[in-house]
Order: sequence, then structure tokens, then C-alpha cells
Amino acid sequence: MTTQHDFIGRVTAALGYAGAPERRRATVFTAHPGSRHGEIVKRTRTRNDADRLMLLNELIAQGKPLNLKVISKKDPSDTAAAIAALVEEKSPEWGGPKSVAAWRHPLIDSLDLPEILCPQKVPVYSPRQINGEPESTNKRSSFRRRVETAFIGITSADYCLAETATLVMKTVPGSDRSVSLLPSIHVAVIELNQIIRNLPELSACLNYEGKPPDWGLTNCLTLISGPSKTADIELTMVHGAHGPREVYLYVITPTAAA
Amino acid sequence: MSKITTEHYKLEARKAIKDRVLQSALASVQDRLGKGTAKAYCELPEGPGLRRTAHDMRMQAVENLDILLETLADNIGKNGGRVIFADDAQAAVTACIDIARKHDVKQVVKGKSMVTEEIGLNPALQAAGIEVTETDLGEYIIQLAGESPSHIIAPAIHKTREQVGRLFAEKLGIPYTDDPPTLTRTARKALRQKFLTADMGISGCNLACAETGHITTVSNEGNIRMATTLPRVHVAFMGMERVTARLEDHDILFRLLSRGAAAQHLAGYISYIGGPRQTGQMDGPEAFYLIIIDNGRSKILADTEFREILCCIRCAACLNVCPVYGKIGGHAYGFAYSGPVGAVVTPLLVGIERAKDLFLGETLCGACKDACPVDIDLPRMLLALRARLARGGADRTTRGGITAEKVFYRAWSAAICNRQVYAGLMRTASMAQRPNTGADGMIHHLPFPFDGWTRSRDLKPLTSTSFMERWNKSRLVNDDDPT
Repeated sequence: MTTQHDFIGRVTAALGYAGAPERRRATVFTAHPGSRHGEIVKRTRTRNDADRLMLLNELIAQGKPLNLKVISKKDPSDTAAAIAALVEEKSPEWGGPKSVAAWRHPLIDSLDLPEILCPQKVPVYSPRQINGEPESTNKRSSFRRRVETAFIGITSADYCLAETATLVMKTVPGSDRSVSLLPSIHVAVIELNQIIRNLPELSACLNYEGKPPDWGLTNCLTLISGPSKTADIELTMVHGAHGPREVYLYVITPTAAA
Repeated sequence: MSKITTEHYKLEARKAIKDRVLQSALASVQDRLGKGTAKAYCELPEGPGLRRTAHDMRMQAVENLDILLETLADNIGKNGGRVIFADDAQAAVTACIDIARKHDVKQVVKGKSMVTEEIGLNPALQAAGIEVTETDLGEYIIQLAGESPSHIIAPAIHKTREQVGRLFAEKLGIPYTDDPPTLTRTARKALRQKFLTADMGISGCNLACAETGHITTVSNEGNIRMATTLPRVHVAFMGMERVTARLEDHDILFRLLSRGAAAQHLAGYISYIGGPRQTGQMDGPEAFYLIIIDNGRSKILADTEFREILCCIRCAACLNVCPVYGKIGGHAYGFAYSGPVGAVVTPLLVGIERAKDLFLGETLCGACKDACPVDIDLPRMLLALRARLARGGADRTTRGGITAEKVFYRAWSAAICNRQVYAGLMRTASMAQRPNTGADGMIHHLPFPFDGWTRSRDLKPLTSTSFMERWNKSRLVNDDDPT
């Protein structure tokens, strides 16, 4: 097996350079990637309500062709009620009793979902509800089974990009990846000020807040624009290839802004 | 190494042209995706010129590839992943099988990856007793059919819904249907079981970000997220040129990639993966490996004439506009990469002589350059390959042109450099062509050895008075003009 040193040495030779790459390195990278983006980050943080509402409208418009349903709600309890109605209305794709998987996350916790769904007798599973050592395989496999059987997965997001209707999720404890992936329906809840304009704003925010070595991306940063889709059979668009067939995004928009 | 059948280009092309089903499928993919991409470029806020910016960015990355790869590997290491460097296909395949053995892997789920197609990974894993399931719907269909992909992003484009229906009825035991939603749902159900039980997920990698130490995977189906989230081990394969320096480079490249590939604003799912599951996380693989593959790329890198092809991000936009691909489809190209990009990259990877028909077959119309999201000058390189083929040279296993052809062109070159000889030749030819000129004033057949020119087209005869004769005449008239 070849070593990194030999492999990269061959690349350097192929490029026709002889040694000392320090000067080239300085032209390619900067010491702190966030330092390139100060202006953009400031812009995203100082947006007024009117600008934020414009971004929300753009998000709603961009979501439409993707089959992403963006719904504005005035507060968490209003959102929770909407989710309860959705749980009532939809039926599990793979049969069996209804259950829901959710992130352990301040915004999602504030919805009080276990309480709200109690009358329907629909259990809500989040990493919090599962007992056991934090690092045990048992705990993980038990969580996995819950997510596999859940027909709705409820998450928040770190950012949402208006121009492409894209949810952006870092992977941190409590915000597990499978919740937005395995259930047939994905429900995301965010606040109005989490909407930013586009990918350049995202890169700026991530790098600015981030630290080495991952610069704010965590071990897995996921971008989701609408439900899963395929056009592999005669270019016919079908939703629900492997991931969720439907995606709902509730944006908590304070009445003061709306 | 996967099977290379570039020698059968002409034969396969002829078969493809006669295949009516394929012809209508290709026409439909080009009509929809090709036009959609052109429109999507025009709608970019920065305008189509963004492609030039992206080109410069990619070229800068390629020209600093050593630094970028080193930074990427170090950062992935810091994030808890392992990076393996593989000189060739065999080394990459062996590394993957070793990882599978180490983690006691029996079942693998795979996301679509052209580089694994290039190195022939699937047959090697199967030979090692490991079950491999392709999970992209198109790849799954062709895996069930025992075929190979015919398009970089729509691998089963050569199959009709009826063919898929019959295939699923036979292989998956469902009642026959040709309804795409029902067929998709059948695959969804079958593959969900595979995802939930697989030990290892294998993916390619669309780009990598050196500065943050992440690879990125792009899909619309969600299969790559499944394959890289659920199994215990994730192995990603990357052609060594696919790395960019900074996170913000991805902003432009992803927007262009999504437009080039499917005329979308942004693909449905993009994941930046930098390492395995971290403390406190309930899912994600326990081990993450990145296998970085050379397999002939450093040779291309060293050749400044062809270095530019390493800017390619494999979006397939050039396939969707190429008049040649649009008639012969992907299989004729005889290797993982088809269309204009295949016609350039395949000869450079497998040998110019061996794959010469690929670049000789392209028309040099230039549509591929206009469609390329990173503005690669493919026509320039197609011509450069032809020159390399004619010139010969030990460097790329070319024998040089045919001797008779060389002699002919040398004589031709001497003739056209001499006014009298050239004019004499033309007069002779214009007399000699008379018996071959039909009633409609066109030449339908030329005698051997020129018969190839008229095999599939009619030629206009040479004029009886040449341009120079007419020019001289008109000048005489003008000179006589008293004014």
C-alpha cells in the first residue's frame, strides 16, 4: 500500500513543482476561514423583520415546485396543534400502529409533543426517552428501532436557505440524522430568524462560528431541499424514492413580525 | 479494473443507432435535460459567466492538488476518519475488501459512483463473498438486469417502463406493472430492507472540501444518506482531483452541478461528511474511510495539454447536448465515462490507441463546451488527442497514424503549396468526377479508396471554374474599368 507521503509526492512531481509548498499554501488558504466572511455574517444577523418576512415568502415560493410545504405559525402551541392534526390525518406507510420520532432540541421540546399526542395515543420517541448508558450499543439500537417504525420524524434545523428552500442540519447529540431520513413524513420546525438567503451566507455563518478542524460543519452537515425524489424511469418524477415522501416545514413567525 | 470495451465502439454505435427504444429515450433525455440546463444557466443571477469563475476555481484547485489533498487528509484524520491512498484500481479494491474483512462485513449498500464503476469494485466485492446492492433506482434496475450504466446521472435511461416492469416482475416477484410510481415504491420497499440490514455503505464523492475536511455526496433519492447513515461502516471513494480548497467554493460548484446535471437549483440532498459518529450521537457509522484514487490521474496531471480535464465534476451536462451521444448512447463508449467527457478522459486513462474511436467519433461541434458547468474546453482536447494519435509517441501508447495516410497527406501538402500543381490537380479531378456525377448534380459514389466519403452522404462536385479563376477574371474586368 502506498503512503500519503509517496502519493502526494507524486502529485507534486506531476505538477512540476519542486518542494516548499508554503507560499502556495498561503495563497490557497487563510488562517481563519471565518475571517473572510465578517461582512456577510453581520448582514444575516442584522436583518429587520421586513427583510426576514421577504425571505420567508421566497422560501414558500421556492418550496412549491419541490413539493416542500412551508407553513407559517404564530407560536409553538399553534405549531404543535398543526402537527397533531397531521399525525391524525396521515397513516403509516408500512402499516402498524402510529408512532413519532423527534429530536431532543429546545425548540422541539417546547412543543410538548408527548402531551399533545397523548389523546391520540401516539407515542413520541426522542433520544431523551430511551434509557441506558449514553454510549451503549443497546441504547443506539433501541433508538434505531423506534425511528424505523416511526411514520413521522420531527426535527428542527440550524438554518434554512430561502433561495433554494433548503434545510441545513448539523449533527450534534440529540439531532440525529435518521429522524429526517427513515420516517415517511418529515416535519421540521424552525423560527423565522433561522432563515438566511443562500449558500454563500451559509458558508459564511458556518465558518464564522466554527472552530477547527471541522469549521462548524460537524461530522455530518445535511442539506435537504424538499422530499426524496427520482426520475430514473423514463424521466417520470416520483416523490419518495428512499427518503421521506412528504416534507412539512413550520416556521414560527412572531405576530409582531407578521 | 472494470471491463474496457472501447475497441467495439463502431460496432456498438451501429447497434445503438438501430435500436428504436434507445433512440427515443436518448432524444427525450437530451430534449428535456439539455434544454433545461441551457435555460438554467441563463437564469443564474451572475449569468452564464459564472461558469468561467468556476473554471478558474477548479483549475486553481487542480494546480495545487498536492496541498489540497494533504490538508484534506489531515483534517479528515482530525475528525476521526481514515484516509487511504490508492495508486491504481487494484489497490483501491484491495483496500476496500480489507476494510470489509476487518469489520466483518457481509452486506454492502452502494450509492451511485462512477469511480467505483471505473475500478470494477462490485465484481471484486462479490468475488470476495460480499453481497453488494446498488441503491440508486437507475443503478438498481441495471444491476437487476445485469447491465452497465449508460448515462452518468440517469444510468437506466436506455430502459423503458415496460422493460423495468417485466424486470421487476421477474426478479422481485411482483405482478407486472409499468407505472413508474408503483415500480419506484416496489424498489423503495425492497431496498429499505437492504439499508436496514447492511453492514457497510459505499459512496462516491462529488466534491471534497480541504479546509474543513469533508467529502460531499449529492443525491435526489436519499439513497446516499441512507447508505452513509445506517450501516456500521462507511467507505467513500474519490478520484483524487475532486477536492476544492474552501467551503465557499462549493456554493458556486453545487449550484452549477445541479443545473448541469438536472437543471435544478440545488440537488435534493447534499451531505458534508467529515468523519464517523461522535460521542453522544445515536446514529451514523462507527468508522469512516476515504479511499483517494490515482489510477492514471497523475499522468494526466503531468500533461499540461490535458490537465484541464481534471476540472470535471461529472455532472453529465455534456452528454445531454452531444449529437454523437444522442445517437449512440453510453454503452458504445465502452467504459464508465461516456459522451464528450468519456471521449477525452477514457483514452487518457486506458490508452489513446485503444480508445481512439471515442475521440475520432465526436463531431467537434462545441456544444459540450457551452454546456459544461465549469467551462472545460472539451473540443480543444478532442483535437489534441487526434494530434497525439497522428503524431505517435511512446508516452501514451500511440502507434502514430497509418503510413499510407501520412504519405498521402505529405503529397497533398506538397501539392497545395504549389499553385500550378494544385490547379492541375483540380482540373484533373473536376474532369475525372464527371462519370460519377448523377443527374441531380450530386456525386453518389466515389471509387475506391475514396468510397468511404460517400457511404452515407452525397457530395457536391468540384466546380468547373475555381475561385481563383473567377477572381482573376473579375480583377481583369475591374482593371479595365476606366474610372
